[in-house]
Amino acid sequence: MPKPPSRVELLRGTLDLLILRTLLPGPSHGHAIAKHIQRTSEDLLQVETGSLYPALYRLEAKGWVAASWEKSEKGKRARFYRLTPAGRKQLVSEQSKWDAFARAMGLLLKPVNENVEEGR
Amino acid sequence: MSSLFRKLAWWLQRRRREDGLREELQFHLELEADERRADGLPDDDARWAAHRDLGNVTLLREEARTLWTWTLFEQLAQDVRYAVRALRRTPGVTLPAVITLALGIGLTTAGFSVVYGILLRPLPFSESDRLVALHTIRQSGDTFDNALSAPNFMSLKEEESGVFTHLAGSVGTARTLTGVAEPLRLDGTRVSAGFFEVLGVRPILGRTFRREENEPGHERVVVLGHALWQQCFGGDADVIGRTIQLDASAHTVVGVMPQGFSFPGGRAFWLPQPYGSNFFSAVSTAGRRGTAVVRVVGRLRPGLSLESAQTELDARSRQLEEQFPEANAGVGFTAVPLRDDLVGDARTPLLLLFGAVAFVLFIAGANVAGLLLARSASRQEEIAVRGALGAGRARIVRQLATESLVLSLGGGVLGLLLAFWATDRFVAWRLDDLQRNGLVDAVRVDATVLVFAVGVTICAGVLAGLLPAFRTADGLAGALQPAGRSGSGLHRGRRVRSALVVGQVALAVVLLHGAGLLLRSFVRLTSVDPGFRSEQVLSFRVALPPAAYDSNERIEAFFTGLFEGIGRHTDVLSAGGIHHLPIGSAGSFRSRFQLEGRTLEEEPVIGVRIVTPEYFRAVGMPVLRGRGITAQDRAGGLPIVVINERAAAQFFAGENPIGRRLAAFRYDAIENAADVFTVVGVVGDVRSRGLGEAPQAEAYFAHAQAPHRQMFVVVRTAGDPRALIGNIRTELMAIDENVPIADLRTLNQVVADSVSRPRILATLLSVFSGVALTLAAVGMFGLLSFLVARRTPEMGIRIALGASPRTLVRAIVREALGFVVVGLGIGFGGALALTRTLESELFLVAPTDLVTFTGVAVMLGATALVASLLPAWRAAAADPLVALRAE
Repeated sequence: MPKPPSRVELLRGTLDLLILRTLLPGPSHGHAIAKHIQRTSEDLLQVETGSLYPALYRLEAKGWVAASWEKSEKGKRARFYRLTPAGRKQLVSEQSKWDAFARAMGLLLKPVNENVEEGR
Repeated sequence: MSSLFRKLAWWLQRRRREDGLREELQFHLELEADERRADGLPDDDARWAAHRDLGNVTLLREEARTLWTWTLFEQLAQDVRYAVRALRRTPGVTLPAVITLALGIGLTTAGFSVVYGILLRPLPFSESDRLVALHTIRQSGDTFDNALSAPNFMSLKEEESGVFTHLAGSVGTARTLTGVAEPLRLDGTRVSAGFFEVLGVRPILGRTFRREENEPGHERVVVLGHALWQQCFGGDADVIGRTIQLDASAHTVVGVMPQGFSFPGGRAFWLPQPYGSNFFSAVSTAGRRGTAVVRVVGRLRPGLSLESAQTELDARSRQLEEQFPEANAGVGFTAVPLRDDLVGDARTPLLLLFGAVAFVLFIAGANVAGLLLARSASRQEEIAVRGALGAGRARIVRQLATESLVLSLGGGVLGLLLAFWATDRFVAWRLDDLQRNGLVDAVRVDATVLVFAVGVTICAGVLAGLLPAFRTADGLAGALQPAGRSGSGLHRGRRVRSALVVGQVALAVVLLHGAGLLLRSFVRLTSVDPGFRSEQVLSFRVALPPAAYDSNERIEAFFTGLFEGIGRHTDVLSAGGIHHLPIGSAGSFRSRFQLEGRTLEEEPVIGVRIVTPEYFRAVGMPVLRGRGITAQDRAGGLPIVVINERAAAQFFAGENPIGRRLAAFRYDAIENAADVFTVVGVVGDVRSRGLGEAPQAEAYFAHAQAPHRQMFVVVRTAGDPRALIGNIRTELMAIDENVPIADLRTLNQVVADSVSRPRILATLLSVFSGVALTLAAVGMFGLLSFLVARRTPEMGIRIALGASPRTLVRAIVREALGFVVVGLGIGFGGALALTRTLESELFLVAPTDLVTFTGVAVMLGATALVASLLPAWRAAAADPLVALRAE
């Protein structure tokens, strides 16, 4: 078996954003969401099942996703989640917040390194 | 709001939701397992791996559920359900724990209701914190009176406005109420103007006294207490304006006071006292500046502190000292908060008793903590399984804490019942002997006491439960391992439990020591010879109304008739009278005398007793020299006196006192008799002021030569003195149907009543320390049984290797004695520190009394032996085979 790549811990609060983003193209069930996140992040992000489902229920409770029982690709009943209009709005605002945050982090982290080098 | 509805909706369909969650997770697992299989794992492994990956399913479900429901409430309800179920499953722990807690909580609550009622609850007067009582302090001898002399009161009253908004005085009195079903002797009080205004108490009917009613000639009015109004006038509102007979003189009822008001304690009625320049002109001694008889209560000006009031009083007392150097030399006044004045010296015993019940509560708590620890130790595996199934640590702690709270709640409810009962018992059971000023009436279980009980219950539950809960939750990891039983957690648990048992023993030692001291002191006190024989003697008080008995002849005729009548009954051996019963009645009648032919720097102070001829015989006082008092010692004859041994030794040391003469000096009771008395005899000493007080010098005068309207009659009988009561009543009725019998008691009872306070203290403390000792023994027994059970394999191996049962028994007993020795050490340390407070309550016993120490040590040793017997026997009976298999 190949050695699994070292994983990155999910930042608190980012799981919701990832789930919403994953559901943007279309409805999906829990397992597929987890796999999609894992695969798209090149296995860097691993979604703990123990936090995935509570997160899904939390999002459902907030009204950002809706769930319904449908037949899966394998013909079994599965619970499919899809974005609601409110969820779409939430995704947009969360994404712009994240972009701002990521930019800020980038700005802050890079110059520090340069300064250190200048000081030598 | 919408989330609330959603939650409600979800909660209603929660079963369907849970099924959905289960199905969803199942689907996830299958997909995951499929993937593993695709990776080439065998079927079983694939499924396990999927499961492992999923993590703690229960925890997950639980977390999901928090979104759906009010988990907190649901979990609480669930915890309570579990707790009740778990507690019912182990009645062997639950019952003792609940009973123990009920004892602790019940006694503490009852103790609090007493302490709160007497020491803390605001007095039922308006702005009672501004009320003070004035006391007199005399530098000579550092004595104090809780009263002022009438002239000093008047002097302060003249300039009251500097310190007080009101100042009022009252003097205790007694009257016979006639014209009702049966004549009644009642205690009342004569009050100065403004008395009720000072206290700020209003009558429930009618009015209190008008200012002019405190002037001579207008004073034939009376205010009734609630109890008297109910008892004699049926609670009839028409009583206002009615005329009642007090000491055969007509008084108009003008008001009725509210229930519970008997200020300054135990008063049935109030009369106005005419005052002015001659506050007590009618009673000349009482009117002297040197005699403190007026109980004074004042209301401080608003904003005036006690300290500044005292400064003013000090200045005033120095002025009075200069003005009246003879009477007021070294005399000062202190302002005492009214509550302190009313509580008197009952504070120490009350706090003592409260401390004792608090100790019992601590012991009960430690005991229950020990029980719960033992229980949780045996549930270690169950708890570990719960943990493995996904219960978080906090959740487990909470569940265990809920269990102990449910337990203490049970104990609290039972305890409250006990508290209601015990409070009633406390009050009914002569608590008023501890505290005589009516504050006991305020003792009851009220809202404040209930809040206290709830607080104590919760604290007890939390404290007794938290320790075991945390310890159990900590021990989760190791418990499921095979070696879990003998893991280090157990040793820690054992240490904690040992500490709890040692603590219990130590607390019990302190209580036992206190109880032992009080008991020994009580035994010493009651084995004191009072100087008279109290067996088979009946005593009662009669008081003749001055209006009907206005001459010495009439008084003398009444008593002569009474004694003759009583003496006719065959069972009566002798009947006599004394104006002041030794031991039984409050106050002291003492006076200065001059010894003829002797100039002493200070005239001797001698106790004055007025007796009838048969008195010495009736109470069994021996006549040591000369003669007693006879029927021949009449008015107009040679005035005689009989002195006691102490007086003879003190004033006529080495000389024959017979034939010497005494001159009465400043005493009114005999002022209408002759002044010079010849000593005709010497009688034995009597402890007049109480069993604990040394006899004082006393002089006995003949009633015929110094008649008194109020006398205690003592009747020595051949049989049961109580059998004569009916006959005596008849005799009395025949002579004067308006004279009631009061204070009817046997002399034995009089003596017993005089030591009721030490008896109450010793009894209560004994009961409490008995409870404490039992609890400590139970705690010790529990721990030893637990240890033996845990060490059964070890015992088995030892026996298999040839250890004799005796060695094992010894090991267990040694363990028990170990607790006791450590507990004794700590307990005695505590006892030495704490029993100092007992000193004032002890008679001829020092707090460091060696006998008590030894007794306590022996008692605890014996308790340890008893507590260790059964466990030791079990250990010795350990069957090696069974024991080893238990592993």
